[in-house]
Amino acid sequence: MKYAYYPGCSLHAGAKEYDTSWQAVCERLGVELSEMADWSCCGTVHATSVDRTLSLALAARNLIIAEAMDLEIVAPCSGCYKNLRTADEVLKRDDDLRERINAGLPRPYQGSTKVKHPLYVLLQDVGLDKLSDVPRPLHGLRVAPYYGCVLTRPAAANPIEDPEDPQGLDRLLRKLGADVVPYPAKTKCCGGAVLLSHTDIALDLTGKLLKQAKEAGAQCMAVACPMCQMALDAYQSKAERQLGERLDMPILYFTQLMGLAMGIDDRYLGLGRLFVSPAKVVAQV
Amino acid sequence: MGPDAAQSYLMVDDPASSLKDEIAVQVGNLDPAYCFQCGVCSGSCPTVDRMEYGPRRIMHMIRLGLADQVLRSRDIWLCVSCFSCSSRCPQQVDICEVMSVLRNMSIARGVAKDEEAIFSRTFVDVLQRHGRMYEMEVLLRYYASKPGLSGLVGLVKQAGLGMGMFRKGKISLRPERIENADELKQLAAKFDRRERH
Repeated sequence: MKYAYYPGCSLHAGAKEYDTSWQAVCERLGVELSEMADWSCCGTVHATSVDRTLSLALAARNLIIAEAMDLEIVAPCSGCYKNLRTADEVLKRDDDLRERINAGLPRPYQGSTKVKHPLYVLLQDVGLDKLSDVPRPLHGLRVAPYYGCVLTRPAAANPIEDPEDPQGLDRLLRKLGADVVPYPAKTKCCGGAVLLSHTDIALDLTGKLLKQAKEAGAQCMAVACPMCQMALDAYQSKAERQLGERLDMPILYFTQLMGLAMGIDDRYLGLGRLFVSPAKVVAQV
Repeated sequence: MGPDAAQSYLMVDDPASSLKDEIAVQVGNLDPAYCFQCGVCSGSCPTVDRMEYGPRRIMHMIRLGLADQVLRSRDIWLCVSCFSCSSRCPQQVDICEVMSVLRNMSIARGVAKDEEAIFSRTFVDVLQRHGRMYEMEVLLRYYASKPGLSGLVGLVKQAGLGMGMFRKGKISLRPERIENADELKQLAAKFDRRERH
């Protein structure tokens, strides 16, 4: 099992712990990741705001790199995943647009690859059976599964799961032994798109998400996107101030929780890089 | 209602406006004309309470041809692109994509003044320079571009968090650059409509 790995800018900077924990999990499960040579930024939501055609072209430039490798892409940042996946879907069905975009690329996009998120590589390609005998199951750990907005939206023509009530992360966490709390806010937005330009608005949204997780009895939240992680973790103290309430909610990448359950060395999990200490979570496992 | 009545609607604001048609071309078959004003979009929007109109009214304003109000509205920049509206619209109008098209048009016409418009432009400029994101440069350029002291105030407000990020090793001091950054310049020259203004 081998993929073209598109880490995206965050996993090379603020979210290194997502990168190293995901890679360590892959190594354990026999998933091979080959980082795409000279990949470029997907443009995130900001490029779609500036110019949608440019945003598609930026995504296409990356898609053709994976096409040359003859591999499917795995993109752990939900923002990158959404941009690459939707561009791939649009370019596959829209002949005119494909022609226009191809005119600006070093070689034409052919539509021969596919874009996947690590969560669904694990669920669909690897299979949860591989996680049946983890050495340190997360028994008794109450986790709120947070998918964020663009992991499941915009829905594909044949969506992997319900865009508003997905179950994949729930299933994965349960397989690891965790106690998954009911979390209706699981696909509500964290406001990451306007985190710097309209911080107070983003903090409203993160505050609500954190509060709901707390009220559901969660001891931590599991996330699958570096933007969500930053908004919920690094900005948590600001959200607490705006909310006037102490939250103290550790925000772990789901790959870090997997690593804990699988007994992977902290060197790869990077738990010390989180703002809100996950010490209680680690003690529980 | 006959075609004459429809015509008078289109003339409410700007007789030359073809806002609806322009959006229809860009969003493909997801023409806002399919909107029947049920309001599920506004009911689903996480930031609607901060907006002046909200997505439902924006959709209607598009149909009325109120280009200037729509493209100058702050609302289009408060959209967090979460696709809740799009996934729930009973008419399958991709409202979130329409909002994105409006932001593009607002920038292309030079009427985008919102903070997020400035941030998005700065972000794309930096990404085109290096091929990858370099947060430090985006932040410094973003705050430097703000009028008067507001940039400095913004930067100071971020200082504590910035230090925290630095201590956690979450901020790179040097940009990562791709080898073929020229490819991005070519893409920008070809597709970025800002280049033509």
